Order: sequence, then structure tokens, then C-alpha cells
Amino acid sequence: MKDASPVKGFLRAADIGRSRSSILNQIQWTMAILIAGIVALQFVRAANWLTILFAALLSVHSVLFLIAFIYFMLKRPHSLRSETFDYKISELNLKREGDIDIKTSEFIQKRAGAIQAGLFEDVLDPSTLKRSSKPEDRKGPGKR
Amino acid sequence: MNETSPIPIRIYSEFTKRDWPELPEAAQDTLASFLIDLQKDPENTEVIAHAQRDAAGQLGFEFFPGFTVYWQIVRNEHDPFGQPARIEVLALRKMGIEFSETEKRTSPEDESSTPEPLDSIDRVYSRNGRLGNLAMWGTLHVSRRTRRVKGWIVDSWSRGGPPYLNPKMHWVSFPDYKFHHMSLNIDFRSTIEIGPEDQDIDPVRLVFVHGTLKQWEQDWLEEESKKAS
Repeated sequence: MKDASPVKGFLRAADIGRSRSSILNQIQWTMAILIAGIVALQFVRAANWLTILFAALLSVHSVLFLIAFIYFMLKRPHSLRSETFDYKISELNLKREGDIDIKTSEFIQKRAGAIQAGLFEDVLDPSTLKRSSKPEDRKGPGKR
Repeated sequence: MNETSPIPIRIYSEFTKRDWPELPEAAQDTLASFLIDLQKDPENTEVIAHAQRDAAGQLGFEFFPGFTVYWQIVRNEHDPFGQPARIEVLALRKMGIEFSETEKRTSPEDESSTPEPLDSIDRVYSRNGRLGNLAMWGTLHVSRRTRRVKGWIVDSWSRGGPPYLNPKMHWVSFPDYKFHHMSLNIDFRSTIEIGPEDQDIDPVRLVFVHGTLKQWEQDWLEEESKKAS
């Protein structure tokens, strides 16, 4: 038998709530609950003010969702993808030819830690490096 | 602050006293210019596209033949998606690893004879691979002196189930595929010291690494022949 349906596929693609996926997941869930609430209110013939309240909340969330989506789209697009996607991309990145190997990566991360611990110098103008950092007794390249 | 204001650069403590003076003058000039350009535009797409990177987002760039600089872009804690707050230069590296073998030096005859000149090895190929729960990475190195393939630096381990293998690095010599204990020190001048042959290697690790390396060598040769044609 063919795989159940395009609906299943769509749900899988939407991936709502199955994992801590996109950064907008919570807003998406709240919107889904509010929509379900509005539908349910119609069935039970609830008071109009209650439906209006839910609709207002849904509108606020829709605006919030749009603003957040545009913000992340411009500033940090990968946050809109799932964690799995981010992980897969990192794994692929690791496999790229010519990337930083693991030992070097460990080494530079240790250095980043040392800088965080206060072992650093600030350089405002890199063009001053050449003048300021060559001690008089400098040995030539390759000699230490 | 306008858009073109240069971003502050923070360098590691050994940079100016130890590593910078070791650079040839032309490399110093190139690095200074590179850092100035990076200050002006830390997310320059041209640089980012040609840079090496790791999973933590740190970047490396061969700014001068044989020399690589590594850095990271730090953003403001309160505005993690905003403009970069500073650039942190994390390391300078002379590419090529100084190669030495402890076994050769320990025999008494060697002390009287002329010592073999120190060799350096250059990385020519690198790969990561998995097979079930087994994983490894390896880098293929050639001798700087003879340009012949010298061997592989290999790290292998298991993850998520049996067989349980702790991560272990080996030097696998070429062409005899002997697994040696090794000590790798990464720094401005990186060194590798090859120890005695590992006699207690787990057979699963041995077969996995052996088979994978042979496959990778084939792939490397294919890639090289494509480049040459």
C-alpha cells in the first residue's frame, strides 16, 4: 500500500511540536491552540465576547509571529530551521574538505577560553603591530 | 558609531612576543593588512567563503603561503544577533608539523651516527567517517623533504553502542600501515612525536581503521588524478 497520505507528509514536513525545532515554535503552538479554541467556542455556542477575546489574542500572536519571522529571517535565518537541520549542517560542515581539523579546533577553543579568562591584548590599529612587536633582539624566522 | 568604524581586535597573549616575530616580514605585512580589512568588514563574504571553519564557528584563513590565522567574531551579549563587538585572534599557525620518531633515537648506535635531519609533514587530505557505531577522522600527510606519503594521523572511537572503543589517536605509517602511539602538539609550530608500535590495538579498531584508510586513499588518488587531468 502506498504511504498513507500527503497529509501525513505535510505534517511531518511541518514538524510542529515534535521537537524543539524552530525558534517560533511556541508562538505557532499558541496560535494553533487559539484557533482550536475559536472553533470549539462555535460548537458550544459560547458568548460572543469570549470568541472576540480569542480572536483578538490570535491577531496579536499573528502580528508577533510575523514580526519575529521577519526579524529572524533578516538577522539569523538558521534559527527558523529545526535543530536537526542545524546539526546536519554542522556535520556536513565538518566533512568539508579543508576544514579545521578536530585537534586544531580543540586548540583554538582552548585559546578562546584563555582570552575569556583575561589572557589577551587589545589592538586598536593592526598597522602598529609591525612597529611595536618586533623586539630589537628579534631572531629571524625559523629560529627561536 | 558609523558603519565603517573599525571593530576592536583582541589577540591572545603570546601573539606579539612569541608568534608575530616568527613570521617572515612579508607575512607580517600581509597579516596586518588582512586584520585591517577584517576590522572594517568582519563578515566579508569573500573571506568567509574561502575560510576554513569548525563547528563552533571559529574561522581560519591561510593569509600567506604556509601560515594560517584563526579567529572568531564575538557579538554583544545583549544583542547576540547584532553587529560584531570585536574580533578575537585565537591562533597563528605555521602549516606543516615537525616530525620526530622516538624509537629511532633510543638505540645507542644512533647517538654516535649523524642524526637524521628533522622532517616536517604537510596535510594533503582529510576525512571523517562512520560505520555503525564506529567513527574516525584521519589526515593524510606527506613528507616536506621527499614529498612522499608518510602516513595518517587517525583518531577512532565508538559512539552509541558496542563495540566500546575509547577515542585513541594513532600514527598509521605508509605503506606498511603500522599503528604507532603518538603525541601531537598543536601550536604556532606544531610537532608530532611518533612512539612505538601499538601492540594492544583492539582488532575491531584495527580492521575498521585499516579498511577505511584504504578506501580514503583510493578516493584521494581519484581526486588527485581529476585535478591533474
